[in-house]
Amino acid sequence: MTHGSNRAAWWLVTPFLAMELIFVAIPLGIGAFLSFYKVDFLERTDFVGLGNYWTVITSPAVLRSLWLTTVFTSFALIFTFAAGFSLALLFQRDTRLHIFGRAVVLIPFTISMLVGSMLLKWIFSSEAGLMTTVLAPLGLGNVSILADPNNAMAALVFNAMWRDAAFAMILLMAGLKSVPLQLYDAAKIDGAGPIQRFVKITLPMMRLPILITFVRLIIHFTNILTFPLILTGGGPSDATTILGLQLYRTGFQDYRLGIANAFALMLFAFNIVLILIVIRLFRAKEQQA
Amino acid sequence: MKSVYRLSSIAATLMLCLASTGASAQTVTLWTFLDPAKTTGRDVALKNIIEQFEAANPGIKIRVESQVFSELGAKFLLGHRSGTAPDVTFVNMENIGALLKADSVTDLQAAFISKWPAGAEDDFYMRAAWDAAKIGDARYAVPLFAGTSTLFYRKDLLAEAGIDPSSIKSWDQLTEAARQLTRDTNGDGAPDVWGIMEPLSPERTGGVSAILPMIAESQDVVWDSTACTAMYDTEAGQRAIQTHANWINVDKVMSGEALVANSDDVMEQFAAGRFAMAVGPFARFSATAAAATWDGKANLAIMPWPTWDGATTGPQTVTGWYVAAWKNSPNLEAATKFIEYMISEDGVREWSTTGGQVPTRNSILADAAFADEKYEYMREMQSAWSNRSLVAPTNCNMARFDADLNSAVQRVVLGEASASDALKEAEQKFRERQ
Repeated sequence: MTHGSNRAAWWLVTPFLAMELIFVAIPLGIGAFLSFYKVDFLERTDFVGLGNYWTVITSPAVLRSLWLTTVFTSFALIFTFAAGFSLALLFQRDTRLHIFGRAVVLIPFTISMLVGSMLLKWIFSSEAGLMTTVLAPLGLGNVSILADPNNAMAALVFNAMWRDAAFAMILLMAGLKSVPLQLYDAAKIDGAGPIQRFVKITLPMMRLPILITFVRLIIHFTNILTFPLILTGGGPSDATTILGLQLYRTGFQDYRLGIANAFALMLFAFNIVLILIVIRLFRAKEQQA
Repeated sequence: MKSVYRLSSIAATLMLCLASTGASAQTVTLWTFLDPAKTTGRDVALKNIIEQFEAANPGIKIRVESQVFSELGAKFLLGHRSGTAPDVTFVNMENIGALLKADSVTDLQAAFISKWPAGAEDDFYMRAAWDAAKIGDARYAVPLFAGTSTLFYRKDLLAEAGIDPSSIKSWDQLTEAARQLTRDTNGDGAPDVWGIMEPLSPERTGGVSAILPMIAESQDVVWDSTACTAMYDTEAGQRAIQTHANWINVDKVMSGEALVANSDDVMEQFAAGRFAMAVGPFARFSATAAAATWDGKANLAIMPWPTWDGATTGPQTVTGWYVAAWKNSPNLEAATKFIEYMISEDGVREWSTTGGQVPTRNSILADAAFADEKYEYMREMQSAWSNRSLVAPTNCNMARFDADLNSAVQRVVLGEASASDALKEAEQKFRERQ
């Protein structure tokens, strides 16, 4: 690259770097600064050092949220990924029917998270919901979904899968379409069946799209706020108060912004650790292969 | 050269015109959750008040910037820090303490209330609400329209069950009435109409609860406003929590869905005919009557809180919306003038007749227009507030206190804790927030 083209490249990148600086780096810096202070009602008062971090680490509510987030993210990831991959395989061809199928599947993803979660809340409500009508013939008309701690978590996972399976489908379908068709043809000639072709060709060739999907979903589910805020309100008895909701309450409802900043930075670090673990797991698998 | 002179004189004239326009039309910015372009009662009332004020004060224009109600307090504080706050802001009672702590609002007592004739303040009959933002001789916000949680009921269903609403004096009588009103009309084993319903979710309940009146009835101090501590784990507190849990688990007069229901859910389903009685925000009276699938206008009514012994009525909480002026407003005089108009007799009359709010002034409720039967619910509420009103301390962080109490009920309903332990947890959460 010549000196001139190097300069042009910098000019092109500068607006985006400036935006990153203004909207990401500087707020992150301010957040980190405030995390060492007591900040109540947006007023910075005493320097507390690592006190806010200690408050977060030792809070039973936060530790419980961490566990609930792990449960939620694990199940939501498994079900969303499985549904997304199945849909990608089902609708990967470009016939009119398949394109129509993709459009239908995308509907939950295109409506706002808030509206989607409200819809599900009405559906799951045992007072006026469709689910009661569906379950009644099975003798489960009196089963409460949202008012039972275990069922509420299952509903939250369902909300995640219902909305984000289409997102996973898009990411994975892009990967599926990049797999050379000759490989499948060659495998067919060699006598490989559909399952063998999937295991020996599709999965290995999809390693990168799968990794990207995993990372995007993990970040999304670990930080999600709308689903628990609207669908379950974090209840019953805090059974669905995952980290995103706990952080929102600390910062924007309790106005304890010093602690909330410390909490947010720790959540940020938690995200990084999770992503590194996923990448390392994939690399280890790649090396084995 | 001549053309240069001509252009210069035109430019100078234009600048003078602009300068004079700026000087004559002072613009006061108002942050509110209302929107004068909408058609609900309070939105229209605000529109009318602005039009009347601007007509009486031709030099002042009011510019409304509508905000999300749950973000108003935090946004105003941010605006105060960055020097971009509006001249006037609505503030809900829960956030008054935050505005006072941030020293962000001006003293309205000095601005105009002190200039009123002697005794004029007494017209604001809810003394606790009137004094909620008072520190020493200064008063930093004034009530615009008071809110509270209240017990709604359907006259038709109570009449069908042979229950006289005025006979419900105690909580036990309320439970018994709810038992009679809970009905399974289609025989599927699940009630189609529940006797009573209450929002017990920890989110978006807006302070709506029967728990607090139950506690406050038996103890004068629920929160120590000096130390900012809560006193929930008392005999009254345990009784309140256990009664709520029993309504779901033992008496089976309240649906378990209450645990995840917010006040919107409760009022929507009450309007849809799912409950005979419901605890909800008083401000929703008109909207619920209009939206009901049954004859809401004829059959919706409210009753005062029962008490444990039934000898009197329970304490009525006062929440609701206040109005304050930004301390650093460049239009402070015009801003306070507008606030004075909003709480004047004309302003309060507009909030009440058009906005459907209980008048904050006694004199307005005495208007002949309010003798009409359709204002019965307003007189009922005015009477309840006059008997005993309860205001949460504004100098403590009161955010989510209702969520703490709701969580306590949830823990007991699910068998995860005793009432005492659940209330201790609620006290701890309150303490951590201070």
